[in-house]
Amino acid sequence: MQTINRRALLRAGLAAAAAGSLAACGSDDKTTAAAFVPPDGDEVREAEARRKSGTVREVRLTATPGPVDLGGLTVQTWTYDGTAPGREVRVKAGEVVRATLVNRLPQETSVHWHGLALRNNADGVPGVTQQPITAGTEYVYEFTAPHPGTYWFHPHHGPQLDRGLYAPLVVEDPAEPLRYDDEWVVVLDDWLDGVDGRDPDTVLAQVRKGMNMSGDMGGHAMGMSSYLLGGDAGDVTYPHFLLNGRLATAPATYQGKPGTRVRIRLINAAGDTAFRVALGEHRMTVTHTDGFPVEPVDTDALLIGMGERYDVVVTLAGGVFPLVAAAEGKDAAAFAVVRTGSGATPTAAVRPKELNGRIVAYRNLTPAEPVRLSAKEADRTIRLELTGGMERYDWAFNGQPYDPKRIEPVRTGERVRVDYVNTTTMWHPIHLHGHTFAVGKTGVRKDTAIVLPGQTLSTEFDADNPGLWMAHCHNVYHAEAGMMTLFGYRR
Amino acid sequence: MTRITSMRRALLTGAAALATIALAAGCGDGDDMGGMNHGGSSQTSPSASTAAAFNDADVQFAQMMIVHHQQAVEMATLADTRAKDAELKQLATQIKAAQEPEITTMTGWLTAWGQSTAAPDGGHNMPGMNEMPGEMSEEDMKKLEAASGTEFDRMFVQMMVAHHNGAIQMARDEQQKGSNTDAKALAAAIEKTQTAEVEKLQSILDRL
Repeated sequence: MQTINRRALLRAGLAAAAAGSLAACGSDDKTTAAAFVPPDGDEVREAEARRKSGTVREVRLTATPGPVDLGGLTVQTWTYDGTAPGREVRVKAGEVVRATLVNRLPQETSVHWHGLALRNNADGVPGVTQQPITAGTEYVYEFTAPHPGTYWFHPHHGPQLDRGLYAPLVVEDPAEPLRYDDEWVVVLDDWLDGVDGRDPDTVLAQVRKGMNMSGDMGGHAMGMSSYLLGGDAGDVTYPHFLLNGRLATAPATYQGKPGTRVRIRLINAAGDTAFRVALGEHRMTVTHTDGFPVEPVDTDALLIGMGERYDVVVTLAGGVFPLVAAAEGKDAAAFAVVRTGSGATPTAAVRPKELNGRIVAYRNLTPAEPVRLSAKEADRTIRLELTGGMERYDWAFNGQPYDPKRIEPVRTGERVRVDYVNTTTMWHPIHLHGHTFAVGKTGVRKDTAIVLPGQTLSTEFDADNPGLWMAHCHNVYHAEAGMMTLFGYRR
Repeated sequence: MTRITSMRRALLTGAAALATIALAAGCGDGDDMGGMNHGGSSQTSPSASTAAAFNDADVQFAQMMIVHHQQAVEMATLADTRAKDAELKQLATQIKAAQEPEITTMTGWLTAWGQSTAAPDGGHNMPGMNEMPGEMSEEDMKKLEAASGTEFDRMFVQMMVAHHNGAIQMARDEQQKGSNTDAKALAAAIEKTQTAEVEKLQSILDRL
């Protein structure tokens, strides 16, 4: 490990040198901030003005404690307006979302609109793009939704998203090129809140203690391993896995007709769980990931990390079929029933053979031509090492836990290459705010991507959305432990 | 990657100097520089006198890689009778042929060094404390054993890719931290061979 730490020091040293005395001490954040476009700066306003903004859609969200019925099991949790997932927000590309968040939680909160290239001061990162929304107050987010696709929203405060605070955000394309008969939004989640006296805050406190050698796991999970994820599948044990807020023992049903072409929008809203998803006796045609279109490709199953989305189109056969989201490496699953004819309802234990079929990888996904980044040399390369481990629960970038004063500089107009180098023995789904980057050789567009242990994920994005933007692991416990950092646009 | 590694080592020499500068400048309130405290102190310096020398990293590398290779051989043996794809079957044979002699070589070193050939804790992962990256769980090995046809082929490739990636990680580690020339050379060879095999495995997977 000392190599990594020294490297981190080296980087810190170089950054300090590059920034002169500016960022070196970080004791004067006004000085540091002065080097970057602020979230409410003129450049941010100008970028928003360039977005073709249309009709304003009013949304009101009340974050509130209360009971939720998961299907025979009622838990006390926190939700948007009493349901988990929260009500879907659906707008058309170019429309303006004006969302009022009413905070009735006993904590501060914020809302992050995951995946959208929106105006920086609506991004929902407390202490960076806004002040936290204190308990008992309201806050208004107003932003243009620029690109069509499947997105979602959740708090960016502590491990709150591992409660019931999450909902889909669908941005429709006014000139939708994809042909389908119906849509089905499927939100996946791992659930522990309000079960056996646990909640995400206490789980976070436990895991942060790290794991000692006496066998006291401090709430850590044992024996969760996945070859698809290259080792440890997760850090936290969950008693339940939900599909659209339902336990596997009380599954949701999609009722359709044979021959119907359904666009399924899959969203992984979990805190610490990847899902392997398949529909029994069907192949799925992948059409989008993270909102952006890909050249259609058929697959039997998908591996979806936290924060990732996939859109698939399926032509339904006649009968009754299970849509299974197996919690990867965790020996349990969420599921729903697809019914287009008569037949017995499958049980929660069903595991269609497609789960062990072809699983499309990033290298099998090619961006649709209109969203392919132009061929261009990177103007800047940023190397971020993913560091840390379970023993000390010191997940971080470059060995340094999150510090809002540490900002990786970029400049408007640059093609920025970011290499995420995973030096840990665990996988991490890395999410970049405000941009949809291109991954690897194919250039498939993503805003959240899995980096396997020991592997490097090479990404590129165009710096075209000024402000301060976070990159972080979307394992909410890793993020809270410190695996978060910031990119900032130089003035 | 060897080039990068050596470059990194060269850079490291400068790192301490920069760290000193950073400290001298009064920056970093301790929290920021968390890495620093562990930076220099835990380094295992190879004993000075040593041409045929080895250090703890070499011993650990050999002990762990033996166990790691044994599992790869075990998986490849399953492929002998279960693999459906001809190219995959051939690659499995190749993996076995490469790794079996390496087990013998590494066992020989440990004996010559007067070290145990057994890995610490039997070399098996305590989940969450993955000392041996890419090692398959017993449960996954059972699943592989039970699979057949294309399902076996896919699972085999997915597992072997993860297994190889783990070995590559260990091999890179050894090249950075080891001191024994032979061990570091073998680590470099393992990294090179298995990186190429991962690419081949993935191209097989893409057409399965």
